[in-house]
Amino acid sequence: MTAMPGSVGALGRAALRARLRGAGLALRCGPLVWRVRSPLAEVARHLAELYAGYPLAPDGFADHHVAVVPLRGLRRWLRPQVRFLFDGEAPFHPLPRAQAAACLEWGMNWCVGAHGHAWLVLHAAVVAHGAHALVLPGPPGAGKSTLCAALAYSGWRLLSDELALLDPATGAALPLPRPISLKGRSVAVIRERFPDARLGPVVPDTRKGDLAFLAAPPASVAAMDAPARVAWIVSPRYEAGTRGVRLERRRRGRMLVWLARNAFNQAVHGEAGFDLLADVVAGAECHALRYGDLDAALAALEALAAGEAAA
Amino acid sequence: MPDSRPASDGPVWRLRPWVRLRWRELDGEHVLHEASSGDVHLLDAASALLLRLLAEGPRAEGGLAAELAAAAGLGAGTDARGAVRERLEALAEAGLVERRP
Repeated sequence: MTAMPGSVGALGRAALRARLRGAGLALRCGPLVWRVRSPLAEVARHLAELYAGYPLAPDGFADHHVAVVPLRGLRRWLRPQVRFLFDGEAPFHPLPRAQAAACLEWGMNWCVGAHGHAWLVLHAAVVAHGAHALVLPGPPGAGKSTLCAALAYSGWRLLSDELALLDPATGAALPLPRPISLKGRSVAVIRERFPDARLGPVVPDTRKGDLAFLAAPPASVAAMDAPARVAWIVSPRYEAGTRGVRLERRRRGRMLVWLARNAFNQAVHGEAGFDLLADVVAGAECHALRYGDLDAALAALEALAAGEAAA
Repeated sequence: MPDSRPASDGPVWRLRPWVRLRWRELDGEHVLHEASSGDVHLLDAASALLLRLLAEGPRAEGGLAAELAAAAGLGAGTDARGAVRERLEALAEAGLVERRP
């Protein structure tokens, strides 16, 4: 595949590693620019394979200066570890070196959750059908990343996997189409279903279990500047062994409370943030989705997008 | 004035200091944002009414019970004090109201 000029992929592996080892690789995703530094081959490989289509940002300003670096000391010979740095500070405990890519991705998530106060940040995946966004909020383990990945490779546009950004001025969802974090069995499910999708190596035994990162579809990356109006909010729950799917309307008051309590920075935005979220919820159809069958879930959400919502 | 109600009207309740309320009603559900804590609450209609009344000023429990009974379309002789007390205590636990000393 030919790399887009000015993209991470256009750099070539050697130049990419040189930037990571030197002044940093400045890449843009939606409204944010990260400058990433790392001497680790694992991080370079992760960025080369899963961020090839992302635009390089001009030298100079970056929203977040981050690094993934190996720990020094004798221990590195026995149990190599890496550390995430944000502006030179380490906000987390070190992780095993095998988890270097996850360390970067989790650290980037942390940057948005802890510092992305230009937006209201929700714990939710977001995909879009045309100009209309489907927000998928849910606690870890609810199956939202699996559903998000399946939708993103079935004709929907990926806006974000874990962090929904709401524009305070318009209430629209802004794209942040970074790789999707797949856990446990969903890695095999998505690999089998979408063999052409680019999937990073499986990292065993992370704090979230076995994990692999799935590249955002190239079309979603290309559309990283196109916001979408929130039309549907669907809280998914995967229930193993359940046949079919149940999509039921959910009262908006309850949904508003859940979203507000699981927002990363509702407190920062205060009353304005509450008003924003209430307006977004009031303007959306709200549902709960219980599924044990991914095909049935996809069909139900297609029907929802087509205006054939469940009662 | 609510403060001048007789002692038989029971304890007087009020919003806690610094509490600032913002409401949304969606699909018949009452959602409340409290600015000083940043907390968001889902309230039933009775609790929402009590809080709106207390937002106007301190009220005795008996007066609140009468207002609640009237709003619910219950007869004048209905004693809603039990329901009121239960809800006020839940609101107090949530840090929204308190008994006036």
